[in-house]
Amino acid sequence: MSGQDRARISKARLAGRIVQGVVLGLLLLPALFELASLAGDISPFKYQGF
Amino acid sequence: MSGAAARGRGSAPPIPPPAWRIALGEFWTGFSEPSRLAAMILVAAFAMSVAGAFLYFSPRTLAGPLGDYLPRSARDAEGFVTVDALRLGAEVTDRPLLLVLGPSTLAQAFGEPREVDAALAGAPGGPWETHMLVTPLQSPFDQIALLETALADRPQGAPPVVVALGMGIQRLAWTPERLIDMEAQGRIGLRSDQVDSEMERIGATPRPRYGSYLLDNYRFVLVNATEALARLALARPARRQVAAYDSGDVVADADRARETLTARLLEGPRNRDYFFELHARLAARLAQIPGVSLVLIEERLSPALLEAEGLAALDVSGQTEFAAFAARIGAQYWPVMSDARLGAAEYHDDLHVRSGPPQDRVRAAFADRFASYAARLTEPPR
Repeated sequence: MSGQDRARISKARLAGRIVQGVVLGLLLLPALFELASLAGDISPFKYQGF
Repeated sequence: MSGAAARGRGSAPPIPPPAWRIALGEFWTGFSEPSRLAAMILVAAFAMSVAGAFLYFSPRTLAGPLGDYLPRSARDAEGFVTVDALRLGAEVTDRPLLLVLGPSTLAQAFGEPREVDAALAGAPGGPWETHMLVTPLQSPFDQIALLETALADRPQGAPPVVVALGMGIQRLAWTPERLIDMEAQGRIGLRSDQVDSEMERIGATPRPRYGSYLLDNYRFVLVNATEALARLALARPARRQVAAYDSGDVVADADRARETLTARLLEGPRNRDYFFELHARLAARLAQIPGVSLVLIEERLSPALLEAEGLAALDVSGQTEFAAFAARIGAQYWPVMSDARLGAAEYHDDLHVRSGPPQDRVRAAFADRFASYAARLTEPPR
């Protein structure tokens, strides 16, 4: 494997880490919103009794 | 050739996989394994999305074009009226306005705002712009909050506004207890000083305020946030369907579960004093806003229900009472659904008319009364 290849592989792993952080970071808030809705028994149809 | 020679040729060094394949494997390793960098970026992205949520869920943003993405679906009436009221309050339009407020009965009877606009096309002082601030089981407190927001800071000389407020015997049962319970659910995303004052008047504690739209309306935000953010990310706003209460086959009499509704209707008259006092205060507040006038419009239940449950006399006495109340507060009472002469066959269930011709008749009856009213409203002073 050439040095150029090794550099490309290192960049790919870095990109994977960045994408992991971005994806999880962006999904965390909606997940917390949904969890809070569930825990708080908050539903758009609650007024209808279910 | 000997066997040893053949094995020697077969053990030649394997061909290495292409660099892109190795890079993909490395990407997956980076993506799937925990690392300090990923954790730091996660925290940063989470902080940015929290900041974005606070920015998005604010009156200013929701009143702008991004507010289109707030409603969860075509039938999310609470989301649509929240955005509509915020927009009305943020900018004074140069057209006269008709604001229709009421529950699903009225939403279904009037239908889409463009159809109401079309029915009012010839009305004096027009073209009038209709806003259907209707939500299912809309409480008087919801109406107060919507009007306070939509008519905030209306200047002298602004075009006239007609507030058409639904009125029917089923609304009399909005007891203080029921209002407190519904207010606690925070179904629409608006806070109102007037509602807080009414809550205190009936001995309840208003929901707390924190000085941030998102926190002040957290229940509304929790209900809407995920879908709103997804719609925003995909640039796919929902398009409103106001008349959304007659889908499927007409509900048979036997399936209409009339006990609850009838019990509520019979409970109503005992609450009439509070109900009328509450609405008199609302009318008095509206009278202080320049160019705003109030009409009460009938929300009529199915004649089949009234007949089957022996409620016809209650309906007649209710109509008389609403007309007298309107006269007392300097408003008008328009029995538009009675004017439209809707029979039991025009109803989908006990609360909602069918789409199509029955709605046309209600709109025509309303437009008929509205024309003479608008002529008086818009005639120059002598």
